[in-house]
Amino acid sequence: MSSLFSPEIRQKIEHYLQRYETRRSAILPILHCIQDEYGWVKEEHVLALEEHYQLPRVQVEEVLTFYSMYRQQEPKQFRLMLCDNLVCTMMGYKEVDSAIRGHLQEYQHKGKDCPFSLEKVPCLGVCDGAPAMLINKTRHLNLDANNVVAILKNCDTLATGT
Amino acid sequence: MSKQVSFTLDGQEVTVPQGWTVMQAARQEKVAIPHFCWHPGLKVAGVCRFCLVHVEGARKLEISCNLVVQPGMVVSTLRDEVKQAHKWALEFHLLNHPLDCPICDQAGECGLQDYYMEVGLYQSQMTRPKVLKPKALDVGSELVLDTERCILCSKCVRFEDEVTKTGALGIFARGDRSIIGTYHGQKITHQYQENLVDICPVGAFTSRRFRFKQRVWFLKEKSSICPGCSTGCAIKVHGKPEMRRYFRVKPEEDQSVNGHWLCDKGRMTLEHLNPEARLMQAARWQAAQQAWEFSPQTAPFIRELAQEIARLAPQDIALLVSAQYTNEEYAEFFDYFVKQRGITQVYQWREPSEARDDFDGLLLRGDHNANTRGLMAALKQVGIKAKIGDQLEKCVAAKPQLVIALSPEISFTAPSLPEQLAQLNSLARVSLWTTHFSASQWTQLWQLLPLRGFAEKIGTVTNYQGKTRVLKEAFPPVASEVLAISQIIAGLHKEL
Repeated sequence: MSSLFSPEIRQKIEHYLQRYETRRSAILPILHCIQDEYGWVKEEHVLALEEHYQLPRVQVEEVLTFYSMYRQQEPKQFRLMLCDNLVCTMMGYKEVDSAIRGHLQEYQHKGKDCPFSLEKVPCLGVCDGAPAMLINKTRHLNLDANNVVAILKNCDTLATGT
Repeated sequence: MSKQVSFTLDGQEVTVPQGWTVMQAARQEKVAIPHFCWHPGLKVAGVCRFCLVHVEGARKLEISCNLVVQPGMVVSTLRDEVKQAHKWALEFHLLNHPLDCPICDQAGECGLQDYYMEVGLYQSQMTRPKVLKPKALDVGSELVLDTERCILCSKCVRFEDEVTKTGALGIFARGDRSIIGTYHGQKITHQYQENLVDICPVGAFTSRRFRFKQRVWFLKEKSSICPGCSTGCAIKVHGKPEMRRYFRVKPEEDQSVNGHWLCDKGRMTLEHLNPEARLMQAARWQAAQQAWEFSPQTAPFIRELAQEIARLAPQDIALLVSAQYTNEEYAEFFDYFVKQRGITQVYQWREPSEARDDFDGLLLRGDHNANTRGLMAALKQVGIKAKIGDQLEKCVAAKPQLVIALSPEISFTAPSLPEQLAQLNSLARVSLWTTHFSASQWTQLWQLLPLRGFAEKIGTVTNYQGKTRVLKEAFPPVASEVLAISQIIAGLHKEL
């Protein structure tokens, strides 16, 4: 059996394979569980699923590419998921967005490796705290151009460890 | 007999077996329902939404490919709302289609093009640019893939899953970015690649061998039988009779033999019909010049052969016969040589490396001869016991002075033939009757007589099942000097 997956993951995969009428149906939760563990789904994961669990690589790839929230590239240390829905837009999402972009551009100017990735997500369900953003799994509410930069700088210190 | 169900299709009472879909019934009744994703040899997917029909009492139009006939159902394919629905469905399919028909190989036999001419003919309402996708991808030795032209009917994916069971193709990504393809660009390697070209309703899959060779509307098609192996698939040869040239082979539906499919090897058999591979004139080896001397006159060659037959005793003459000729040719050949001339040295030529009982599970068989059963029957008919085995050795051991050989027509089925002929030639004079000629491989044989190819003659062949079917003459022979076996035998008759 593959040493690529930890015993816990293997146990989960077996569980999902038995949970559904067809093995193909288990691809979705299996990929979730791999992504939760490793942060993204690598090609070797797909090949291992075919080799050890008889899930054809083409079928796994079909699911993987269909859903945009499966990651096929290694994510940055901090994934910024900024809400661009109606309420956040009314409450100043655009200023927050340009402040974040400004901060990220500094890395480019300095030629430094950026620990952030920025993506727009629809409603996070916290409109009372708009504009809102997720950083990895942490919520940040009531953002503005100033406090968002402070949050990012805080992340910087965590990233560099200084 | 299964239960029958009656319903009304376009005002006609139609009776079909229970469980049939409206699409199947319409196909039987020759009522054209436009469709892209339905194929009689594949499971129903219902993704193209094009085969909509009106059913009395139903709230919406229904897709006929997935609509099982119910007794008393009243179905219409002619109502205006059906035509309108085709129009809207077509507009959807054309949203991101590049409409590059003038440079597309599928033009002329493209469902999308045909339906556009029939129900489309409008200006696109799209103002945004079309989504661009990868083009001219190499996905297999016989295939070129253009993902922009694809309308995602999923026929090729189902073919891979259901027929070849290789599952190499999938639909990746989503929405207007969806593309058909293999996993990370891997190549399709099986023997049935060109079927993907056949079933593709648009120009997404095109044949590497055929593309840009000819516009399809210039080609004539004729039914024939594939000579590549003992399965004997029903085929259609496409070519230009006025050029004496064949351009492609496609399968013809025959549910009792090949269904809808044909292997890639079978499609290569047409190369043996075209002038480059053919022996166009009789030839003899000139030892002094170490070269072949070709002659448009075949009569002197037949006279030489007749003289040789007359000079030798029947036991000094051997017949070496391959299993790629028609039952009628065998009957005539053996009737003359065995019954009338008394020749009893008859050997069957087989490729030594053949794995006769091999079968790939779909169509292709290890016996690469179209008429093994026919030959066995013909030999039995003239009282010759012939086992399939290494008969060449026996032929050599019999020390004949003249060998009359019916050469295998399809060269890929007989890779060791030239070497074996050279071996025979060192012992005896060889009169080789052949369709195929290769100057680099064949040397020093006494004489070569040009024969007609499989698509140039009429006869019957018996496949591995024992089914005897008629081989029709497709186009006229490649050259006027090319002879039927009966013509050579008539010539011998005249001389002797």
